[in-house]
Amino acid sequence: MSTTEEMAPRVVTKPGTEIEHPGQLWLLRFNTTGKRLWASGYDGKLHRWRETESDWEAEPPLAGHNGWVQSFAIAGDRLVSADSWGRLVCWQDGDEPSVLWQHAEAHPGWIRAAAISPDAKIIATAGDEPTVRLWSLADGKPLGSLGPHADRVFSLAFHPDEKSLAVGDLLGTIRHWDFVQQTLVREFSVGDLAKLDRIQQCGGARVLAFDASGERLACGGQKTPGGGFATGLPCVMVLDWQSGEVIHELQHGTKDDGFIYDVAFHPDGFVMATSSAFPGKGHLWFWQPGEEKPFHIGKKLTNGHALALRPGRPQLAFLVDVARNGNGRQLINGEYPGGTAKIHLLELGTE
Amino acid sequence: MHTFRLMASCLVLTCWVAQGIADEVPLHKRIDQLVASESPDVQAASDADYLRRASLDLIGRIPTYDEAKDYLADDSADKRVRLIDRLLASPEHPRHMAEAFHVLLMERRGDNEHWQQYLRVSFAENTPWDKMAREMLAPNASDEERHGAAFFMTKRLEKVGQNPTDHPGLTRDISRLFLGMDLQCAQCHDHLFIDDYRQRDFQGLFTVYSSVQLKRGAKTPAVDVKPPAERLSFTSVFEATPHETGPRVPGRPEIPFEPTESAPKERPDPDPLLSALASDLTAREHRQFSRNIVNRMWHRLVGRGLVWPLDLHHSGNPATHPELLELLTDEFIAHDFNLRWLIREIALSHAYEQAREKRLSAEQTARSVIVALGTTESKALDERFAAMIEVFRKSLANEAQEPEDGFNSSVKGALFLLNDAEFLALFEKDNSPLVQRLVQQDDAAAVVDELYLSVFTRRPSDEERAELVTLLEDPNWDRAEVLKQVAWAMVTSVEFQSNH
Amino acid sequence: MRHPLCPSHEHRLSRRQLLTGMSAAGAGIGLLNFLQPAAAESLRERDKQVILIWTDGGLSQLESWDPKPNTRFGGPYRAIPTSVPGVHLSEMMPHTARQMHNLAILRSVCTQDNSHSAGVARILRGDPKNRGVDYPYLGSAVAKLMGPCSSGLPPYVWIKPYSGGFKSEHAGFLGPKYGALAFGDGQPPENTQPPDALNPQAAALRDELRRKFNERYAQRGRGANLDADSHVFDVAETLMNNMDLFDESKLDPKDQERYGRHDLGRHMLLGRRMLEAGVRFVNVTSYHWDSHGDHFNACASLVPQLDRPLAALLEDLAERSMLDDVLVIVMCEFGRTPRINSHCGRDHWPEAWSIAMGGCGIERGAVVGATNAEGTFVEETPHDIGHLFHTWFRALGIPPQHMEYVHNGQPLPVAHDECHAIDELLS
Repeated sequence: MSTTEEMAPRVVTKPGTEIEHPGQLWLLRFNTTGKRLWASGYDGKLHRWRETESDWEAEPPLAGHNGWVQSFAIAGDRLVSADSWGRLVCWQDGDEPSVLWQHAEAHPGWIRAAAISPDAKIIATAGDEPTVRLWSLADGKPLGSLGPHADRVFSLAFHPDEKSLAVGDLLGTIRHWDFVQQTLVREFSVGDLAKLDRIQQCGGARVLAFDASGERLACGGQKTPGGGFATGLPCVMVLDWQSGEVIHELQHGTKDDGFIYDVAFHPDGFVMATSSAFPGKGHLWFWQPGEEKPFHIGKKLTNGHALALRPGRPQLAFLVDVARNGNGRQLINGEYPGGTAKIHLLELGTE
Repeated sequence: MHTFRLMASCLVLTCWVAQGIADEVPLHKRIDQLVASESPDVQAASDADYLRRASLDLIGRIPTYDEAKDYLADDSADKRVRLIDRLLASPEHPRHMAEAFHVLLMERRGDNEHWQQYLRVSFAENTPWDKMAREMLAPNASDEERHGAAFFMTKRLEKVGQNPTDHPGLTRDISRLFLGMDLQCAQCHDHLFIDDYRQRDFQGLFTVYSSVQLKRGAKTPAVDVKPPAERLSFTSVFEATPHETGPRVPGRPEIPFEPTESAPKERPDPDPLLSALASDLTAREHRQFSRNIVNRMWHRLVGRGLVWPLDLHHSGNPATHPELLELLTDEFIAHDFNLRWLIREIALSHAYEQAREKRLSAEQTARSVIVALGTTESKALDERFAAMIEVFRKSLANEAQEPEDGFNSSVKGALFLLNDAEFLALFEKDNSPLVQRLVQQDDAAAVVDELYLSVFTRRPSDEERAELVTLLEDPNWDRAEVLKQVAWAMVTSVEFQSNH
Repeated sequence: MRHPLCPSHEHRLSRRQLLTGMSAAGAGIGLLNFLQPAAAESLRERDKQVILIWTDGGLSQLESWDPKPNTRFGGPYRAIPTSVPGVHLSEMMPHTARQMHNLAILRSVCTQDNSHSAGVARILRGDPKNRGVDYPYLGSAVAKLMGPCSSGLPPYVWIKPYSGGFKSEHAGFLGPKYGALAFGDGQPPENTQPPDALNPQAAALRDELRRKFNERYAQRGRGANLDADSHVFDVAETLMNNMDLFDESKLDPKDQERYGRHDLGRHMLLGRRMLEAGVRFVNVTSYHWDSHGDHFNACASLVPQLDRPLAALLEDLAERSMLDDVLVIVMCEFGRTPRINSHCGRDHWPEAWSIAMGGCGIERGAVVGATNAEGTFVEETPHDIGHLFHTWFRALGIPPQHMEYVHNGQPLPVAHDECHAIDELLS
């Protein structure tokens, strides 16, 4: 291939800045300008940091959600966030964010995924209610629903064609919806990522991401997932969108490395993925689909729960969950320790 | 050195004295002197009962019809002695001992062909018990005839699921089965209620047996030893004071032991550390080793342990007849740990004639059922036994790791006797020479007599005979059907299912 | 169809009637029972029974009995109101919430062991003081202290996935007789079907003859093992007469729907039928609740498998007026850690968890004890499993003078000597 690609920043060259956060976080995204970093928490809040000349400065978190805020999406100056109690909120981004609109019961329960269409007009949300709901970004008006699906929905990804939506569920099925016509187009299976293990339905199509062209869809999860310790091999499958076939697949790590929490295509076409399991398990890795193994593994970058490329800069924000496991009391200084989070702003460079 | 010579001379003296007394009065007579008749209600066994009991205990099955008839017809005064000697000389005796000791030592954990060969050879040769114990506790993998002894340890060293190798369990079983001391509760602290069981007793054994491993890649049972690099330190869960110990048998001094930094890759066979501990454990002067086995043999034959439970020998739980236990122990040591001799002496005692009811093992039951139903020729008996034994074991044996030292009536066993197709098939005319023979016998009274002698090893009372004659002559019943059901009812009754 | 309730006397009598000549004594006893069905019935009505639902591996208290929504460790789920004002359960248990008035929760459970292998046995034995003996599991203890119900069915049955059989290890020092009869995947044990070739007359003949031989043997002053033998044969026969219990084709499809067609639902429905048939103690076990990783998705999959059949069971027992006599217990070896680990899991937490119970002798709708705001530790008085054993034995009406075992001549308390019944849980 071309020499420009070899020269492209595609490996982590510097650990970069670290942001420590006193609670556990789910998701991490930059705003459109790349100057503000957003994260959603196990505490029902949206946390944010603004870049200053020397550092990243925490800004007051946004309250109003309950339970966990597992998903949010940003388009322009709009941010939509969804929580595990079914609330959907649209914020006006800025130094003093305000609520534009909200639905306290957008879904009857846990919303696990929220996505904004490429033209920034439509929001799709889904979760334990096996129906995808569509909303107008402008005013929150319900625009219809897709479904029902056979089981819980874990993941959503809009295709750049501005009419297709990919929906991944617990049972390892990906459905292709025409969200304009609100019709089901076809179904693909990533069945190896789901399993009824004894009495528990495990795994599922946990995360979905299209590449920039929309030719390929990456799906992250765990191969032959199990219950209990949730062991299985972290796995990313890459589907050819045209045919719906799985054309590449990479399992990386051992069965103790958990499942893929986040996956994204780099604009240069490679896949960035992170898995997490018990402390020290699960890595950040970069993989060129078609190759047999990742070309870059961040061995010290374990327990990643989310990754976000910074717009306009060769930087990757990497969210690490810092929460010990173990049975029993184990107090530290007489206190029962909870989990925390750490965000690494990794510098990407050439090899 | 000095001490050793002194000890050795004492030993010779003891042996000589013991031997001298034994020559004068046989042990079974001295047993009788120590055990007065328990209570006037307990009657000495009738000839029929004695024959059945001795056959079950010594060759693992009830007598055949012919054996019973001959014995009952014998009027001679020494018939019991001759019976015991005949049974002990029979090839069925070592086979029965192998079966019984397999259950005693392995407690239904599993089986192995080399282990079986070891038991067969050992009991055929009447290997002294101390030698057997040393072979099991310090196995010699290069002795092809006897290397199966290692199975006692290797089976217990197998991993179960994700659990670590159960070295504490192995240690516990060794102290339980060879010393009659269940040190389980002394693993983490001195025993709370048994003053004699100290944590250092468990740890002294554990320091050696925790270093035993399965030999990698071995096709036959074999162990490896990684000798400990230092003396074992341990603390009680109740107090923080650390203690340490080297290899040591409970109640014995520590065995000199040089901690090895780096063990030689190939250790001699049998392993010197295991050998040293096994020798001390089985030493003549370590009487608890002998006390345990004589108590177990007494229990096996007489139906109750002098010490009970069998694995709780300690000063707070004395023997019912302490002098007797010591006498048996002395004599057993003096007779070089000779099990066959010990069995003979106990079997000739009055106490044995008054033995309590005992449970039949699955093996005794299976073989006795087959014999009762008329398959008595030894080859045919063996074949049928081999075909049926697993069916019997599955329903009548205890679960793995549960000692078979008491009765165990179970619903599982009852359902087996009531409904199991393979078991019930044994009563069919085609499978039971007895039923086949009796169907053709017209004389109902003779039929009943033969049934009783074949199954119950006794003659019926007049009442019993009359009752069955009426039934057999009832024209509403098919004779073959009645015979089958009568045989079933006899075989499944408590009279048949226990060793009384 | 034979009624599953108490057919054994009738059945035995009919067998005996075929054999009038040979069975005077035996038939007499049978006849007496048969002629007093009302007395037998009233005895049965007083029978107290127990059903223990065991979620092996550890149910999360936070996703069931003691939710802490919107707190640091509360997880994603909500709490929902129940049929008892002021009492909330996790939203994972909507059906059970509607039966809360038939339940009580102890939220101050604090036990000693955080490992499965040791924890299971410790909890099921009531974790008594070490006496150098293996204590019986709760089912064996109740079987010993209360005996079988008048149905004659085995006093302690265990409905579980996988294999069945006779599990004597539960009995500890009480001996194998008090072990569990396990119905693997709800199937009866082996050999419960009489052979086809055995016609009823021949069957009656052989059973009568056997009884006769045993009687004679006893008359000769023998038979130390006779009672135990008769007992197991009686139990075997009663079991054989109750094979309808295992026939799923006879189930009401509505019940199957309400309880669920998954293992735990099927097994709890069988458990209800075992109670109706007169089993003293039914243990229904479900495995694989040990959600160290991906815990919240595990709960979404697992907890409904408990919620629906538990609600259906409570509803049915109440509707059949059985709840006053049936003690329902829902427990496991420990709860799960408040802290959510980096695998989105919860680990083992014996420090502060909950056990639910209801029915016989239990205060309806009671919530006793509490954990702190984040659910990390018990506030005020913690209660160990020993307290619950005392509470349950009291609820079952076991008289204080029976609250002691005798083993090898030594008296042993039936539960931890330093624990006591929790009065607030008792009605």
